[in-house]
Amino acid sequence: MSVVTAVIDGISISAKKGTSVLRAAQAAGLNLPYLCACEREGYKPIAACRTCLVEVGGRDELVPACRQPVEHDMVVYSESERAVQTRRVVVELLSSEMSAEAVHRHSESRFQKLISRVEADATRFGRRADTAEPDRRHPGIVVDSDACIRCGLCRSACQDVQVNSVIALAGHGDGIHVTFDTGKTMAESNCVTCGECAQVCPTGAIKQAALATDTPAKIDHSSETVCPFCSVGCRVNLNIANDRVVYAEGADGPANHGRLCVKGRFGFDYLRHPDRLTVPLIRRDDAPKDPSHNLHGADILKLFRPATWDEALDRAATGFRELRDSLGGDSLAVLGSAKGSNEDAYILQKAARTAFRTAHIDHCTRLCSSVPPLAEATGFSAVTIPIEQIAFADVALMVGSNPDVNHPVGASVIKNAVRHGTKLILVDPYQQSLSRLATHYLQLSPGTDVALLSAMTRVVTSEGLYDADFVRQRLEGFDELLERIEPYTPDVAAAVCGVSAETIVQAARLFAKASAAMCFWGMGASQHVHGADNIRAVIAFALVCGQVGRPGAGLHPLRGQNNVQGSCDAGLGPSYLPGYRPIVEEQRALFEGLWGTSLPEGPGLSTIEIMNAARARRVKGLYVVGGNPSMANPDLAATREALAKLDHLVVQDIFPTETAAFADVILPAAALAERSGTVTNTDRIVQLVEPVLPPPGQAREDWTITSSIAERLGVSSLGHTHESIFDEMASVVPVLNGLSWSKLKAERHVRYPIHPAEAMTDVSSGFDAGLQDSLFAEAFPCGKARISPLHGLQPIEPPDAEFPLILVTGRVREHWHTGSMTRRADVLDALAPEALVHVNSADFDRLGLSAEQMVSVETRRGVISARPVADEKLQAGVIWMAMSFVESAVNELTINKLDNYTRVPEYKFCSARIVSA
Amino acid sequence: MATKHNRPAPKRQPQPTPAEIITVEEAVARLGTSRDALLETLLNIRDAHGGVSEAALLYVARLLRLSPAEAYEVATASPAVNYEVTSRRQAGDVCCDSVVCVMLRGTDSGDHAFCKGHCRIAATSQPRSFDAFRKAGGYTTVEQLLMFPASREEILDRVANSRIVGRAGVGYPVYQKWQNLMAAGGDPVVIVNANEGEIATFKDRTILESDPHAVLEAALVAALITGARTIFFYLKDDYSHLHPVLLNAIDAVARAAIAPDICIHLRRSGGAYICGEETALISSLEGYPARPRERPPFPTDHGYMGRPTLVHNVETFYRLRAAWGARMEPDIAVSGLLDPTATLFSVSGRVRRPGPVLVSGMQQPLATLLDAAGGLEDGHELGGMVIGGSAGTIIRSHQCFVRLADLIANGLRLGTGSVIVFGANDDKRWIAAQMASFLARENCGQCSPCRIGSQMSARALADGQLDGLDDLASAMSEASICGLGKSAGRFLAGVLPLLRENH
Ligand SMILES: Cc1cc2nc3c(=O)[nH]c(=O)nc-3n(C[C@H](O)[C@H](O)[C@H](O)COP(=O)(O)O)c2cc1C
Ligand code: SF4
Ligand code: SF4
Ligand code: SF4
Ligand code: FES
Repeated sequence: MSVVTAVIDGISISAKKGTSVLRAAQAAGLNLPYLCACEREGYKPIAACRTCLVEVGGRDELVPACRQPVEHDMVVYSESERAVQTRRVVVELLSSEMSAEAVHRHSESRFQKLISRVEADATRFGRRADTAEPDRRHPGIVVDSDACIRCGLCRSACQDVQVNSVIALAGHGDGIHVTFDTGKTMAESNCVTCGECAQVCPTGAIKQAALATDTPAKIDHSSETVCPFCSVGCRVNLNIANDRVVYAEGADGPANHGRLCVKGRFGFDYLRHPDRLTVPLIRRDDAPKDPSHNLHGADILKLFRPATWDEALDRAATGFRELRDSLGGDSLAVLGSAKGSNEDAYILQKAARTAFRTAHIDHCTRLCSSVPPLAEATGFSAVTIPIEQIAFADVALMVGSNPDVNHPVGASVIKNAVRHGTKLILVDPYQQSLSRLATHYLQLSPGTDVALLSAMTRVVTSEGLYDADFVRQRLEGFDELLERIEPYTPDVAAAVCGVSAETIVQAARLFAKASAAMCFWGMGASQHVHGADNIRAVIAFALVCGQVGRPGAGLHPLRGQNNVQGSCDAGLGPSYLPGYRPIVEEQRALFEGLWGTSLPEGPGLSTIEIMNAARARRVKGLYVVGGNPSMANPDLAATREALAKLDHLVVQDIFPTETAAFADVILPAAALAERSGTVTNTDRIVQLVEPVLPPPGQAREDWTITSSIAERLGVSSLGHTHESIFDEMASVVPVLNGLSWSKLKAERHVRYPIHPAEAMTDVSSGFDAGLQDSLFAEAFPCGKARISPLHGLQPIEPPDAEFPLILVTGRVREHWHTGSMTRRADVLDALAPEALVHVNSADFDRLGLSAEQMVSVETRRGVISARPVADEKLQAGVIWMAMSFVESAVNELTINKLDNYTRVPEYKFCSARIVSA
Repeated sequence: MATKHNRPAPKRQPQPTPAEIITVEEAVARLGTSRDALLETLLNIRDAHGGVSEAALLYVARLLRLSPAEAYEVATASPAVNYEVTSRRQAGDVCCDSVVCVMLRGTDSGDHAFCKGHCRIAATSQPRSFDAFRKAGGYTTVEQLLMFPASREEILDRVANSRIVGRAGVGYPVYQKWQNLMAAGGDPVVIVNANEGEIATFKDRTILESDPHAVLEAALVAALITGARTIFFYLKDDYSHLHPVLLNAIDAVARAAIAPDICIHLRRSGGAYICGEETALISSLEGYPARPRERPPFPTDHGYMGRPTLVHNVETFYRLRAAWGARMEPDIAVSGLLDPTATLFSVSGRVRRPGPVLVSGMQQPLATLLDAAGGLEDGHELGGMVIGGSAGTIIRSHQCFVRLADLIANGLRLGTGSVIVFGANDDKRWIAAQMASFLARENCGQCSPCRIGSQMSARALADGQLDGLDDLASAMSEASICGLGKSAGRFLAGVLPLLRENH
């Protein structure tokens, strides 16, 4: 990195080569005017407002400081009379573009401050006539065209940074204007409400609705936390007035660089929603559990009475103690959540194993988990490469993932890379928005991933395009693989998958020949009975091509919830101890020594199996922390039946969830923004958070509640402080080697492993000392990578005459998981207020459907009612629904069948029919 | 937890008509599906259907894998596309509203006889055919370069010695531009700029109507010398009569395999003055709105798709041929341009026979142009002339009788050589306001000093509010991104003293 030195207004500065004069001047403490520039990652200089012009020695013309890089020995005069005079007139001209009313509406804007800064006469050139009231039709963002000075920054935000490409700068000459899509209003357009434009607009012409009122709240304070809504782990700055979040802004986090998506921007109303649990609750004696009950929200509270913490904790613990002491720990189970902190997860699994004395501990990662096959192959249970490395990849293969909806800020990084030359191979039945940017889009029939990837692998092996050295030196199972894929010629796969043989061949060659290629996969791959096989097939393809361990080459299963990675690292699962230590004698001994007690035998039951065991009355007591199986699990009727059968159910959450309706005791918890802790994102970055708001009422942090219950079960001092818990966890989780609370406190975020060479050494050998970002340049933690054989399952319930359609479930951008938080955020609920059943356009017309008329969607397990919409991006015969709507909970319909290896349910395939009402 | 919100179900996209689909599929089959095919595809739809509907635009966007907004920006930044205007547009239907037209027909006469780029002038001649051009020795230099690549140095020397300068208005030395281009290396591109967007200018049109192959020959020679294998011919959309002429000419060159490794693409402009500014032109070829890009980098370093790009005006290419020995031919009037002292004026306004006038040397006064143009219109006395187009210079009647060489020595710039004659009864301030409003209408709109400044100056000139505009003029020329805004500022600065004198 070379450094150049220059002089700006008499001050000597040195700056990294490529730094703009504007940024260098700001760094030197100079207050240079500017308007259409943003120094954040992804913004390119627009240089159209011309308010930052400066004089540069040796140059005839004034130059825009935002665009001009500092050059060696450059002399800049930002306050020369010529520059000052020109800038003042330019600002005066710009000022004439706002109407008088609009100025009044946005008197605090950056632009109004600039007018005073350059001492401009704001009305010298008159004002634009008022033409229209601000457009308030969009729920979250107000567009005030009369305030727009057409600087183009919002367009750059939308097209260059978030790459949603919805905002247009249309027309020419004086008619140039900001608009959406083909001249639509923001509300009608394809806008995804990331709010980037509102965050950067210097005039207020595009503004968050919460700020665009006559009397915007006066912000008391603002501070940062991490967004709780997905594994990207965006840092977000919450602005607080009167104990409420008024608006959120993207903060400069390691994963988001100031960006947010719609959930991170508008999702924080839930913190002070009236439904928040604020006191412990005990079930009323006259409120029996009835499996036919399907209650929501405040209705649930009618079944309960308030209690003191002591009473509630006693009651909670007593139920568990009695069952444990009479029937053994095996009759108890614990379900955590991937939305808690690392400390919560660690304490919860510790409590389960030491106080509940059960091995049946799991959490919702089970419902999506896409990592176990990676661990099986490499011995490592996290991504080998973070998302941002895609900038170094020539090719990216994405299988069964729709990051534009589910990991939007991660998707913005991916889309930027694609715009700068990375070629995308997209494999997904749904023609998602990323398909527009893909070099090859393979729209396969649902459930045919294995055939497709096997054929791609066969292309590269039969054409000799695979990495023979890599295969020889670092891979096991290649010969078996060759045998397995032999039948999958491109033609065979084409017939199975509905993708042309030529495309299969071209995509395979492109990937194999790339000097660096990355693989992403998500729940479209994992949520099948053959989910592990899907992923194994992806991994085998990538490994055979030698695409790991270099910048831009590696494997990235996109994790789901905000702390999936950390919860798994902490051991919140039935088949591993913390740090993915196998439940073998030697490892058990380690923890028995550390925790001073014996541990339960063997692997326990997984999430869905726990529920099945409850229905079979083998599990009788359940502690649910932050999970909501009564919305999230497949086949909800069966789930409710199981919950109702429990002798003792304790639910600890921030809202009265559908699961809480069956509880004996409900304990109020603090939300992430109300507490300290650490969370680990999909990129292996551990981030520290501190409270922005206090918890409401008597709500407490999860780990303290868990500790109190454990204490009543006879195990005291599970953990004392965040610091001691994290440090204990770091001492037993090999990848956290070298990390401590104090280090995180100082650095705010750290990517693990810090010492790649040592991180896994006490579990297995061979971890190499390669790049921290793209791991395994030399060897895998398990030595050679293993290509596992496949189990060869097909979808369990193919369509038939009675149920002729394939039902696939997923998520919408606005809602997270079961909707308990996002449905309670006003803007998000307004943007996506109801469940829609998406139907292929031709089917829609054939079935005579209308968006005005609700339909019944039926499977062998249940019926729900929903509004149909025509969707040309779906294949014929496929219908799609999101899981987040209690009113039309699609998991009433899904099938309770699991992948044998990952124990993930088949959410993405069952047969269904649509019946017009 | 029932929702209190109600959101209308998403609407289905409008679907294109079968006829629109056929047009688009045909265009895409020829032009491909990368972004650079966008504008020409839209113009193909416009040709067939009179305009581009939203449904057709969305259909094209999907095929070219652009977002609706990306396609919409180009459609609306290019007046030629007739976005959502479906009444068939015909050459001659549209009046350019330039100062000439309005002066002659009044502001609201509805008389569309005077129109952009045509200025009442019918096509002057039949274009010389490929065969005739070959017979006259055309394309031999191309063949020579292909057969004896060593002759490249010699021709390059001759170009250097000819000292020819660009004819688009600024007069940048051609050889220097070529040097810059060749120093950049890479895979260069040659562009023939036939946008001719300046008001009342029709010299390039005159050349192309008469001798299109001469321009192609020069472009091919430039390509062979600089190592370019791609040539774009960027034609003003209003010159629709030239479109088939050039298609035929390019086709003939291809069929005769004159330079088989060089591909010549004909593209039409977006229909605005700014489309001819070279960086805007390049943006438009790439499938972006025609909005200029800041320099540096210059196109010769970083132009079309980041490749080194050579842009010359039609006339520049035409004149270049003198460097490799092309001679004047009595039956090809424009070949007079091979005389380096010759100037091709476009004379219009209050004259009887507006048209191109070729003048040799600078010794005559501009008034001699009047005779060539059939004299002043009946009932008018000479008031003065506008020289050099929309941001040009207004000269008074007595200056029309001064030797041109002396005017130039005193700072007059001929620009593109357009001469608008006005009468003693025509108000200079009104003319100046018309010129300013052309600039206000035809700029790209991206940078504030030009977009707003040109509006403000047009308004001030129209209202006669001439005070306190000096710093506006200077801010426009100091702060604008491209030549349009800068020259608009210079025009304002220059015209203010003239108008104040009048007051
Ligand atoms: C606003 C504007 C419009 C222009 N329009 C044209 C045009 O229509 N035709 C043209 O040849 N050059 C036009 N130019 C000049 C081009 O940018 C470029 O300089 C020219 O094509 C170079 O040609 P030359 O080297 O032959 O002079 C325009 C410049 C500006 C600033
Ligand atoms: S809306 Fe705001 S950011 Fe966008 S062009 Fe207008 S002033 Fe600039
Ligand atoms: S991308 Fe994920 S972490 Fe970032 S703001 Fe959106 S939901 Fe939150
Ligand atoms: S000077 Fe005018 S035409 Fe040129 S870039 Fe700026 S706005 Fe566009
Ligand atoms: S901030 Fe530099 S031109 Fe706008």
